[in-house]
Amino acid sequence: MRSTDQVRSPRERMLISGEEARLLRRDSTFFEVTPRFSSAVPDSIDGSIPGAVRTGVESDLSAPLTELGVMPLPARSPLRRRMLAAGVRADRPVVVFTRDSFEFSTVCRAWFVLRWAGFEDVRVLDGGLPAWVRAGGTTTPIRCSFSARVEAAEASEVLRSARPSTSGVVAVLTARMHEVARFGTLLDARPVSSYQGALDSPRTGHLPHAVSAPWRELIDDRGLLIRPSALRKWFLARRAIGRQQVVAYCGGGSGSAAVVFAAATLGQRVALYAESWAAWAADPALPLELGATPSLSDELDPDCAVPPGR
Amino acid sequence: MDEHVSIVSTVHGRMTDVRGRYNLTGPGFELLSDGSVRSGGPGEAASSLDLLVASLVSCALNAFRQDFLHEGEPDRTVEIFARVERRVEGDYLGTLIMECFIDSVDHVTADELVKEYKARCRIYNALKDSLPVVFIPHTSDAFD
Repeated sequence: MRSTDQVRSPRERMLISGEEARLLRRDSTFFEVTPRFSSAVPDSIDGSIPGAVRTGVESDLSAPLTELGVMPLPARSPLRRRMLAAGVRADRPVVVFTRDSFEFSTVCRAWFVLRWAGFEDVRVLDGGLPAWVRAGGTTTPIRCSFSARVEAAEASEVLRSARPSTSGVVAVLTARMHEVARFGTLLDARPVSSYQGALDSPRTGHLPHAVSAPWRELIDDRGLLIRPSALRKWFLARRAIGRQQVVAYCGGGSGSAAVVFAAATLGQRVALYAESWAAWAADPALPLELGATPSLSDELDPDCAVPPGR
Repeated sequence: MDEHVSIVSTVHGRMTDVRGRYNLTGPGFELLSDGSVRSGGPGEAASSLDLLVASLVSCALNAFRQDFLHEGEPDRTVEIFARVERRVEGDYLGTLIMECFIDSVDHVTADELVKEYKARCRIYNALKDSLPVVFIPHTSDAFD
């Protein structure tokens, strides 16, 4: 049962059930988000949520491919203007969903980009379109698509997002990742096999000191975000709860967005590595580690004794 | 010689073949502990700070498992995630945060459990001024 508005938790503000989506339908803007790659699961539902607008996580909600990653973050203001011009209202909730319950990373990336563009009330439909249908929601043919491909965000825009006063989502660039690796927590949202890498494959493995945090572990066998206690334990076990800097990365920017979203439902801020693994791995000068066990930064000071000379 | 004094803990510490790695044994247990990489050790096995935290976690697990239970009631299931937060290059020990997942209690009882632990744990009371401890109980009614 949801709390009253005054005491709604972050999870209650960010994640809605099929039943809640039905109640919100007339007062919200719904986006059906299509993934980068077509789902292998046959689509058994005809139509979509009435009034929903279709948009592509890569084709429409990311900038054209640049050196700033596989799905570069779009410039905020142009994206916001395009969305407002298309009828998205800043004073109404925006609900994002996918047709496939298990495309959690796709819907979280859409959430991230909309929050990035400055829309405050963006909610993820837990379980996607199937959850809507299970809750008795009707479907109609989708009539409208939204395409707002704008230029990529400048590096300065990404840097500004990390200011302490920022209340929205945060993205970081490669230069910041070195510092986070030394003193904070890096979360690798890719599959375990990608994290571990292979001795005979150059430029595989994970960023130094990163912890394996596969985003697929965040959803249960129905495609729903796992329960709060299990979620919190998952992050605690990965040194990802606390006041230290925490950054998530993945191959292209969706898996890491899932980790960012899930952490936000707990009230924990996790930043997103904007340039993603692809950019790091492409630079032979940047270090990588192999294996299943994360290393600890040499610069951490776990000794009881203060180092001599200090 | 004082017949009212007993030995309540013994640990034997020895060097190993690995520089900065130590073997710690006692009746019925054996541990490895490493000095940090900064101090010239391997920095892999439990650090001295880890062992200190482990002692408080162990005591808390034992307390939360059974305190205030009535006769015949089953032990509680407890899981603790502990971390020490410290500013980079800080000279102080840090702040210990203990996130405690306790089944079969409500929030009022969780607070009482923490209060009882703080009153009775000798290690906590010996260290609390140098290592402030923040308890974050998670109980069945607050989650899920």
